[in-house]
Amino acid sequence: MKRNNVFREIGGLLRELKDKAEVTVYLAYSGLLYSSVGIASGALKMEEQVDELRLKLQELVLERGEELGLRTALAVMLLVESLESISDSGMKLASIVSRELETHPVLDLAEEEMEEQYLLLEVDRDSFFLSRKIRDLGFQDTMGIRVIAVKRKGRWTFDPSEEFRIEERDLVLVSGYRAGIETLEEAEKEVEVPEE
Amino acid sequence: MEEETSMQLRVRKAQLVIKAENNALIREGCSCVSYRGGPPLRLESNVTQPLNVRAALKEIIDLSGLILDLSFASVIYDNTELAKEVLDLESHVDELTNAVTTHMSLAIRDKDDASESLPVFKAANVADQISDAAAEIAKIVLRGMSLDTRLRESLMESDEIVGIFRISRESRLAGHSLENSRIFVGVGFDIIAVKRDFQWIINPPDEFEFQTTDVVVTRGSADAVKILRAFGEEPK
Repeated sequence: MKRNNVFREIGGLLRELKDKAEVTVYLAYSGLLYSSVGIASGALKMEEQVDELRLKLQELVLERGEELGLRTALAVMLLVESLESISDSGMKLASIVSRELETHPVLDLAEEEMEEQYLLLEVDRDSFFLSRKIRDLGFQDTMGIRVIAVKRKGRWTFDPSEEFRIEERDLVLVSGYRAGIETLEEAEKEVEVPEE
Repeated sequence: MEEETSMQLRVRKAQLVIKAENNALIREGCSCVSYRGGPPLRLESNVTQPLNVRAALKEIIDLSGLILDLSFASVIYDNTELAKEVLDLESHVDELTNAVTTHMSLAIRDKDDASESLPVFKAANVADQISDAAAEIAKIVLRGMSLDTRLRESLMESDEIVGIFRISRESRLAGHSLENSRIFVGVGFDIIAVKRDFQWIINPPDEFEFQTTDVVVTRGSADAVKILRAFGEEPK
């Protein structure tokens, strides 16, 4: 029985860990920007997933350390710890978001030209998102945009899977490069406040 | 690398340059912001000029994301220069965070001010912590602990990747601005840094023009990066 390529496996898990850690932070920032506890709570869910991935990676490194070599094993462990601390920071930021939180004028960054931008959209009948699966959006490829959360009937789904299909009246929270977000902003219906 | 010059290249609309010198903060060319309509923030003794806290906070948050990408790129490509750049940028973020914290603290007059300021402190701190974590990642490279080539290759192949390439003479990108390049490559990528004449330009603006021999660091979908690289490396 041929064992799977440990380098592929670790590479994939590391990439996933980095993604999830980033989404944790994105959810915390957008939770802050929109004063939304609902969005910020997603950071907590993400952090749990980050923890699971970290455990998986640690086990894998220990089990197959010989194949990896000591240097690589140690470097991977260090990478994992750093990424986990990032998601931890995101979670701590999310914990201070509350509905009564008044946005400090300095934090009115939604108006500023940040590199990584956030946008909350409502899916109406003309929306590009209507009835599409996340995978079919092809957003990451063409626009550098990622769907980080979807609210449907009062409930949030964070970091939705590729199979997730978007429906009318869904609220979609996206993050991405400024150029792509600006394009979306013009085409779609923006929402200022996600009702809690 | 002259620290001040690379920062000036990087600063765009905010025009904010902070240089810590003998524990004094000197601000060059930025407009002051008044907190709640009051007078501009001023620091005691050596420090004379107000800080555009909003611009500083934006810079801190922007940079932290960038630094993380660069640190990952440095590990994937086992690139010492990128790793060193990460450390430089991280200390810049540290200084900025201290400046923001100091200025915000001085403006707090009562409990309401305090609770309203908390998110700003937290947001700055999170970005600072991200930069610190990124620096730890970069140190992996600087300590000579490179990852096995097979692992690095696997990381290079993922969905969203970081690519590094050099603009060749007569390539289609040479002489074109970043903005223009999006016309033929699309928007699925981001140029995070360019090395030109031994200097790193971080987060170049849309008007930035590619030149022959520029070393470009880009992040984006595998397809976009492939296309960008093709335009940059192959002659017309």
